[in-house]
Amino acid sequence: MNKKVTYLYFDDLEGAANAVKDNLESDLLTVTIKRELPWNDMITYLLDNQSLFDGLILDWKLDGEDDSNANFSSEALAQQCRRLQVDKINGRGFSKSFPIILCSAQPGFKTIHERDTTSEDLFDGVFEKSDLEDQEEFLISLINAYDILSDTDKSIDDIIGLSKEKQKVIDNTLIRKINEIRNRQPHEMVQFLLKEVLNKKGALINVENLAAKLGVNINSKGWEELKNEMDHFKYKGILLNGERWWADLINEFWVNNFEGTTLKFLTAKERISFLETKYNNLKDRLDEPNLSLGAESKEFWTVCYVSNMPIAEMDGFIIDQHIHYPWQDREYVCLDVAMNETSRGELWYSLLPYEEERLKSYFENTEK
Amino acid sequence: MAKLEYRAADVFADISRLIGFLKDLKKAKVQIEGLESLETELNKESNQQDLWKLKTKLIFKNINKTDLKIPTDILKDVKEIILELKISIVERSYKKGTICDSIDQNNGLQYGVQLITYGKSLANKANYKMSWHLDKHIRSKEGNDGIGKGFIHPEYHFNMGGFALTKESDFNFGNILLIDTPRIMHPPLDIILSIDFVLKNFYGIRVKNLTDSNPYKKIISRSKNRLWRPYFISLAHFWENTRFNDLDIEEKYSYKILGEN
Repeated sequence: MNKKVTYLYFDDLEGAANAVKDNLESDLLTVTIKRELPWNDMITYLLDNQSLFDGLILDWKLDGEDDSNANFSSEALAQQCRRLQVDKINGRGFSKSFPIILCSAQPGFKTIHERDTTSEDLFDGVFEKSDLEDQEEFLISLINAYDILSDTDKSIDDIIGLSKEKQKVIDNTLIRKINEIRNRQPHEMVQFLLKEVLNKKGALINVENLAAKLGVNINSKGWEELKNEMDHFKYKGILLNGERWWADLINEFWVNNFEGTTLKFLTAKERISFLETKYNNLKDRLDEPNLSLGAESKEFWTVCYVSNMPIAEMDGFIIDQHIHYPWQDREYVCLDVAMNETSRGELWYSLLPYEEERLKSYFENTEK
Repeated sequence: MAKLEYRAADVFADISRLIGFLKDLKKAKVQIEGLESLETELNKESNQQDLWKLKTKLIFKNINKTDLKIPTDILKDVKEIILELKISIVERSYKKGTICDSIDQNNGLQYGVQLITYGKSLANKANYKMSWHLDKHIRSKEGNDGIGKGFIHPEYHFNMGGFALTKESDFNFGNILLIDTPRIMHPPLDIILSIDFVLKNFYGIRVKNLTDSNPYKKIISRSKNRLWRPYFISLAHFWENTRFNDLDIEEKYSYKILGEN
């Protein structure tokens, strides 16, 4: 069912590009390397050869070498390509939309790049070269996503892999938002799904979060079997890269099976005993997660942003992050991580101001 | 067909506005978590207009430590108090002019409002805990008294402690956290009235700007009108049974409220 896809990769450093190509290529993915050309030639080349590639990879600084032909930036080129995907200029344009990836060999490039946020939205992915080498699955899923999104008849089901019936169970604002941008450029939907849905906890959850919600220690003997039972509730839409589950479908599963109980209100021990009544083969093979330092509640619901330790929301400290949409959950760190400053500044920057105050109270002189 | 007094949409609109007000309380250092999830619940399509189901867990932070009624040498270890409010409720709309109990326990969800307070101390010290819950008496579908014969069971009753405290076998009863106890007989609380209960009992002066404001009062009074008006008219009718002739009154409700059925 999967056809082989081709990315055209422009780089002024062929050696570095070849290393990426060697690591990325597979039975499903080809990478064609090409040196940069002056602006007009570059545009003409892309338009003339559009049937030969499905996606584009651009090096961030095409003018890095002394003998470079580039008299433009990658951002400018990407902008021009986006325009030519929707409209003709001088009578010429692309017949379809395709993904554009930005990469660089420069260490720390992602953080440097993130400062220039005005151009970031042009790209479907931004990677350091060493990271790009592991993105085969993602690059292929992007082409597949563009194919589906370019189809004018696509349904919401085609995009996020949820039937009309199941869509009712999910946060309606998410469904409405997808519907609203459904017929815009594929690039816009890809940006939205990656940034606001797939890579944010909330509507979708990862495996650690799934285990926390089910109140099960991920190292339990029976975990893999229980996880497989949850297969029906997996995300099966476009751009899947790693496993995700629909949090609302898990809650619905619970209500349907254990009527009158509310998953979130139960302790790990209670959740496990309900699960054991449904899955006899899991009896005595599911363990509770351990409580993190200073934690009190065994009504586990999320995981620490840094350590992935399961925590109940009341035992965590909220990281200062913008919540863009109601289906997104806040991210928490556990007391241990919050007190130990080493991960601060790398994985997270600060807590919400009032959470910093709460944290401080744990250090205050107790004679008060 | 007689007009319905309240529909899911009316109640959801009020909850949604209240959430907006609560988010603003951050300025008064009143932090409430879980409002986003509650909004998500409201955004789901599955609720019918004449029957709606809500389950939510809210976490209230920054509760005054002066509310703690425990010995001072223990108090100094307590770093913060966190209150969890858990609500499960199924409500039915009712026709105008009807006096009845609109909280439904026959649709797979028991009614319950739980208030659990935690006194959290340093990581290596004991944590303290107390729980109250407002329940509706559980009956068989025919309305007969099923369980707990011999004890008085007002239809809606506040209880202190109970299962929430004892279900974890490692909980030390020496660690029970005592705060002023609430009244025993109490009219039903929905999400709006439960939140109002917590704000007024635990934050007092810090939320006065909000709780004194007209839009807030209107939201609260609509919930009271929906749930408390039938509750108290039923009670009044119990003694004044020649009055309220223009209303269609569910006879049994007052007996249940009084625990006489």
